Amino acid sequence: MKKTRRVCYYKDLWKWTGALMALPGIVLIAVFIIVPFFMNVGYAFTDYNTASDVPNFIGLTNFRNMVNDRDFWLVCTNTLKLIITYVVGGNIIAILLGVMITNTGRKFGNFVKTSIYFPQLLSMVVVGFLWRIMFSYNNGPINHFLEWIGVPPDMLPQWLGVPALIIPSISVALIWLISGYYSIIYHAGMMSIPMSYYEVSAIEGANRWQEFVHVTLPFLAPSITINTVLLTVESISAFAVPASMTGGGGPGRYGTTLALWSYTTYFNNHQYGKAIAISVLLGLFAVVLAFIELKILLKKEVGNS
Amino acid sequence: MKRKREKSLSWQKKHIGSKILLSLFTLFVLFPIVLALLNSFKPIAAIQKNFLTFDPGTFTLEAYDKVITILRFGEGLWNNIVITLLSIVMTVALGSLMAFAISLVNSKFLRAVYLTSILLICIPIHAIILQLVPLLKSLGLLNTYLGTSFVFTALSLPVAVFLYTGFMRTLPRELSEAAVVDGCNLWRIYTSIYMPLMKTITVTVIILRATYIWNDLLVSLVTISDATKTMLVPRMYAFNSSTSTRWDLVLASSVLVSLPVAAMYLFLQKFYMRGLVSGAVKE
Repeated sequence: MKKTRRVCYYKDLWKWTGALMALPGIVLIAVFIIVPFFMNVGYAFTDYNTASDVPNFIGLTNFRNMVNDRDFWLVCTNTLKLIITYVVGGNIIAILLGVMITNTGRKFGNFVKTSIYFPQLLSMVVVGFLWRIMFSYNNGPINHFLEWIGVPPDMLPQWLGVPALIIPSISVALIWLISGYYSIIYHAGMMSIPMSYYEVSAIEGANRWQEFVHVTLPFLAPSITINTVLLTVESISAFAVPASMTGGGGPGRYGTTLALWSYTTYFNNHQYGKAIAISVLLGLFAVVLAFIELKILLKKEVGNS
Repeated sequence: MKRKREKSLSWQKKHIGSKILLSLFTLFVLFPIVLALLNSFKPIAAIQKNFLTFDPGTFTLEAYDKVITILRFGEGLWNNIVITLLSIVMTVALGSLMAFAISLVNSKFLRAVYLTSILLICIPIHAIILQLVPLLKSLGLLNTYLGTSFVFTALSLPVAVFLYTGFMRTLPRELSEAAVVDGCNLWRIYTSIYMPLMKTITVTVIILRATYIWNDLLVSLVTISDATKTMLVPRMYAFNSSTSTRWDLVLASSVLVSLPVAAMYLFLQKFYMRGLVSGAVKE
């Protein structure tokens, strides 16, 4: 009885105070995220440029220009390749690291966690530069290593020069960057699994792989869902790493992603309408992919539990 | 019970393999960073010859000297400090207030606010970045510390709200109910009861977002065209070209930009890990 009355008190008297407390944050989010987002969508259908005052409605012309660009499909493929390699590779490596950190003792695990988180503190620009060194053809450490283990000099790959290798190389740099963060999240998820499940699986005689698939993975499902969506958004927004790693988009646009393309189209080529159309496509990409992933992964989560 | 896993498993001893693999991976992660650090103390000729050798005899601080004058490092550092501080103070204050209202007050409006901010985490920044210049211009905030900080704050709020709300919801309801009985209003509950309990998560929000803001390229590149007000990373990005790269300058500036963040991380690392995990895992 008392309790219901208090809930009412919360609801009626504090509704306005609560809204007032949240208001400054809401205003900032509305003005600097939601308004520009819809402005962007609106301007994509106009001949907007920085000089003209009143933009005119021109329908789908900007989108037509975008699709007719000879690099359109190349950039889309690059972006898709990056998303797939990054999301799949990042998840697998982070889960493996999480399992290994959980297996080893707390002390060693903490040391590893602190160390592998370190790249996350670097600027994306720095990360791009570091990996440009690592992958450099003439005196990069990776090619030195390959030479050392016996790869003949004329077989050494030109990591950032051969079209097929550029996006995978960027993926390696990005996964190097985020593996610490995501493995910490997975490790925490594994630590919250009740011991009794492992005891049962040990009694049932499950081997390590069966234990991983039937106990660990189902419990990790919520973390996998969140991390997959976050990784997808990150890979779609990847901008500074490809830019600084390939010197602004790579030989023949083979290192250009949608985000980078939109930026250079706007600020270097001054094709404003087309750039805005690209950024709208990119936003759409993110929303659609996140939606599909949520749909698939949430269904898996329910199916497992 | 839960946390005892590592002790109670009988197959614990077999995990030498995990330890070796983890050690190798840690080396792989730290290698490029150490390499960059060492090379930043080499003369340019030695860097171009080979990244992998280090001769203590050629140790030089020349690159640092040059970078500090070429980039006008002091000026950039000041801009970074002002903008990061402003944005972080606003993010912590406004984000915790939003989360507090969301987790304590039962209203449809605030629930919608919460759902919207979660949704906004999934919007890539490129979908809004092109409109920031006209928007800031019309508000008279283009090329100002405040304008850029507003943008950074808005971009940080969804994550801050998510983390704070996750943490505040784990606090027992009795806490605020007792305060009501004692005659506290909402504001008093926020300042005297909730915020003192939010230290861990505040450290997490600060590190997570300060790192992002300090290291950001895109927002500062787009919203600040006044050369005296640009932040450090856009200044450094000027070294980016596909043809000739001054590796000594690139590496020295990379080290200088990263130092403050690395120091902050090492200093607050223990709190940080705890908060990071508590916000991210649903139990």
